[in-house]
Amino acid sequence: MNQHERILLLLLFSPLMLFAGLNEEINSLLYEAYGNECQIELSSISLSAGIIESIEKKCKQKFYREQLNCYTITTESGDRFTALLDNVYGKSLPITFLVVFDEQGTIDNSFIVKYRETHGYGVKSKEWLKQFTGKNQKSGFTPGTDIQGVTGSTISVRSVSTGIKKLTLLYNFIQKK
Amino acid sequence: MLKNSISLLISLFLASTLSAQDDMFFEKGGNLGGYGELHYNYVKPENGETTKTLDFHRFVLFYGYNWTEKWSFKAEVEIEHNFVADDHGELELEQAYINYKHADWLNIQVGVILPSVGLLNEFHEPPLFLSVERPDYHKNIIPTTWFGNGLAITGNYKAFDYKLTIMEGLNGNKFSESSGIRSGRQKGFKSNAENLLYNARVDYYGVSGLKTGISFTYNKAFHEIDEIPFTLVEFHSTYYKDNVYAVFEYGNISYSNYEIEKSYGFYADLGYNVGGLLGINGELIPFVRFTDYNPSAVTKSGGDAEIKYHNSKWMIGTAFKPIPEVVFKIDYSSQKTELGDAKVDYFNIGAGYMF
Repeated sequence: MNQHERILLLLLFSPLMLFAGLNEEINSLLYEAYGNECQIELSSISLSAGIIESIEKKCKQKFYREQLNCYTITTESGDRFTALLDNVYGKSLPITFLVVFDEQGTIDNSFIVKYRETHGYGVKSKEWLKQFTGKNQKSGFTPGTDIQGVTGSTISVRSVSTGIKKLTLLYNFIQKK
Repeated sequence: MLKNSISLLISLFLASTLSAQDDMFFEKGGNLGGYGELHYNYVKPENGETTKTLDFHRFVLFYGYNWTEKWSFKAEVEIEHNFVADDHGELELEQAYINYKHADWLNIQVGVILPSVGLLNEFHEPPLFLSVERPDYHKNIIPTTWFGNGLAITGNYKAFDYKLTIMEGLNGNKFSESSGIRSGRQKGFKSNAENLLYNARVDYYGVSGLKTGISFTYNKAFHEIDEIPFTLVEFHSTYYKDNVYAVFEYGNISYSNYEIEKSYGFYADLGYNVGGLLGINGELIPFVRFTDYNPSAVTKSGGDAEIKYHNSKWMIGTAFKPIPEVVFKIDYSSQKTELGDAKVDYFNIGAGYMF
């Protein structure tokens, strides 16, 4: 293989390297939370117009895309969890986040996978995200009332809180299916 | 062999650059934000005339454009007091910078930027503080909004957040006993770049509800006779959890070669969100504040000069946020100046928003 062919090959595959990068980050977060022996299966969910309309109306926030990544996690002891990956806008850029549900639809974990803004990093902190653990579709997600704020992250706090609520409602739809 | 190794390295660099720049969720484009605040101010001095003012104090538009997930532009234009003519009102370009985000821990800004000094200089939207007007400390000790031409490096690592700034210095000819360094800001207007200003800040937010930090600023302010070196050290902390809202900020400025040798100030807020208790949608936060500041705390001449601008103030008030981005406020305060024991009462009502 000559130099030009090698460059062409790397350029062609570089976008795949990126997807791998994001998934590697997600896998790393999930392995840390559920053990290195857990099994993770990736699938994609297409949202119907009806589901989108119903959830967006309740949450007053739009879905970022009509397709979401879904990760099914099976731990070494056989417990099963489902993680949904979505994005919400912060002040100006998308925030990629992952919410993990147990089989009853209760939030078991939440993670900020990629934070593109240049300030307001407080929403990335594990301490802040812990507030969502234990919540379900009947819980309150209102910042200031149900969710503590973060100084300097007002808009990100509101976006992420609503985004997590959105996925909690969505999980309920998926379960019914 | 060497040639092959170099070509492989170049190939890997190109590939990694491409993949680093290609974000599956990023979409390039612009975005709009802003904030504004309307104030009613009733000022009643013990000796003097009472004034009543209705003022649309600030109208700010923020515009940003993201070319890639790493390269972006951000700008903020502000109109103060609704009208600009002669000595009335101000039209200011408070931010306008190119931003390069290499990673969470390394972000670079070049243009009109804000040094990171205290809680409000960078983020001062009305819903972010409880009083109608910004705290006196942020006028008389920290010259909020402090902006100018320069370069900043910011970043985040775990629960730490930092910012380093190198920017235009201050004009020492405009320092004063009544407001310390405030009038020395060049505001990016054909700035004298003789002596640059250095500012460093680190914040920690690893404890739920708490944000705490410290900053250090140094500059040799230019002056027609002799430069005025000064250092500003400040500490800031907020705690907002379980409906408790607490703020504390303290700042100290030390000067050399100048009539004033030291300025200092602090304030503390304590509030409680009773919205949940009263069954109200949103946050209703009654609060109390104590402020003490003295821009001329220690002077070369001493005597009355050191107590003339020493003010302390008690404030009580309430802020109501129906949603986090909208706030209505009311406060009453009584200020005492040490020299002459002069008192002034203030009553303010305000409405503000951010988006």
